[in-house]
Amino acid sequence: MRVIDRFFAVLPFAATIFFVAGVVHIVSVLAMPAVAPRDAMTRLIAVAPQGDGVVLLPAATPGREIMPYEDPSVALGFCRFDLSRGLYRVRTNIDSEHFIALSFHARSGRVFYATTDRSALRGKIDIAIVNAAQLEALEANDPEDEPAPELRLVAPAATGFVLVRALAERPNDLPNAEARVTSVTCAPERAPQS
Amino acid sequence: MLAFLRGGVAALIGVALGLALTFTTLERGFGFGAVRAGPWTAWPRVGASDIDPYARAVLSRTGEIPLAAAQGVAFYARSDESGAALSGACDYVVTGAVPASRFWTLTLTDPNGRLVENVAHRYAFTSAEVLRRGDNSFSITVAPQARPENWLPSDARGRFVLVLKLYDAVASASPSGLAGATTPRIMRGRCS
Repeated sequence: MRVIDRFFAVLPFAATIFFVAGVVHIVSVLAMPAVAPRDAMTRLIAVAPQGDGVVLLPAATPGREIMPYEDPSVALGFCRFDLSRGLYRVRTNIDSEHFIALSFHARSGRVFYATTDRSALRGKIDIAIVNAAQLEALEANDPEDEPAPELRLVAPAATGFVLVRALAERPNDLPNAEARVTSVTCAPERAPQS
Repeated sequence: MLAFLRGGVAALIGVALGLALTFTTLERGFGFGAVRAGPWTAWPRVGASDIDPYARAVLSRTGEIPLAAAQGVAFYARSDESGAALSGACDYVVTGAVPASRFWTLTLTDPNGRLVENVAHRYAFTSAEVLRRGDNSFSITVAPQARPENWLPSDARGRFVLVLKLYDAVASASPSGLAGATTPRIMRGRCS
């Protein structure tokens, strides 16, 4: 058998291997968020199996971290939302001096919105997480010629979480930072009847 | 019959190869969109809504919650500025300018992102507490044994990672602004 004939003999075999490997690779990468057993939301739910309000995470010290690469100078809290139970409202008052940041995550940890105290309006953050139907109901109820009283975020999925970060500039500021985290109010709310 | 057998073997090898490829790529950081500045690397798009599928897979595997792009950016250093891996057996000096931001923190973790136990209970420095010299410059010494001034303890037995988080960073909104950023130097000193 000549070299060229051998090449053509193994070609279908090699092509099958590469094709299957490529498909398996792409599918497994895309499926990872759905099947990963220890993603961020799973870890957070393990801290607080139920509840609607903000949950303060334990201060990051060796062995007590919930997630990798936590910042020990930051007080962390989270709220989780489930839009099947109504829209979800997140509110907090801001004092302009201290860093506080809210990030809105889909279940996999992907960020769909984020803000810090710098972009707060009139000393407040007031955000409603909604799905398309809830947004419609809110808009139908809006008074004419007035801006919406809150920021409305359409979530990419029905469930997810809001992470609250408050910075402690020095280790003894941590209790104050934790108080700023727990002063955030998160709660499901019935959409107005339209 | 033989053709079927060969097809089956090829498919099995393909599955194994595909899974191995997934495993190795997900082990190697967030993949695309890395911004390098000196010994530091940041993945600003990981905190944005247009995160790529690889980074999303990595996040769901590690459980890390990234700093959102609108809030700041995290730089990771696994090696010093000569390219040698950061080792607890050596002393390092971290000094120089930090990209413009409202606050920054410098944290030492093990290669998996966990804090390292030490007698001083010191795991990080913030921009507010770091001791500065007359000209406002600072230098942090990373070492397993106590050092004067700013001492960030490392574990003599293993490798470690330095994480520089910039909160309300000026450049974090645009990755192009980060690429040329002046980041602190990481200089290796004595090794035991």
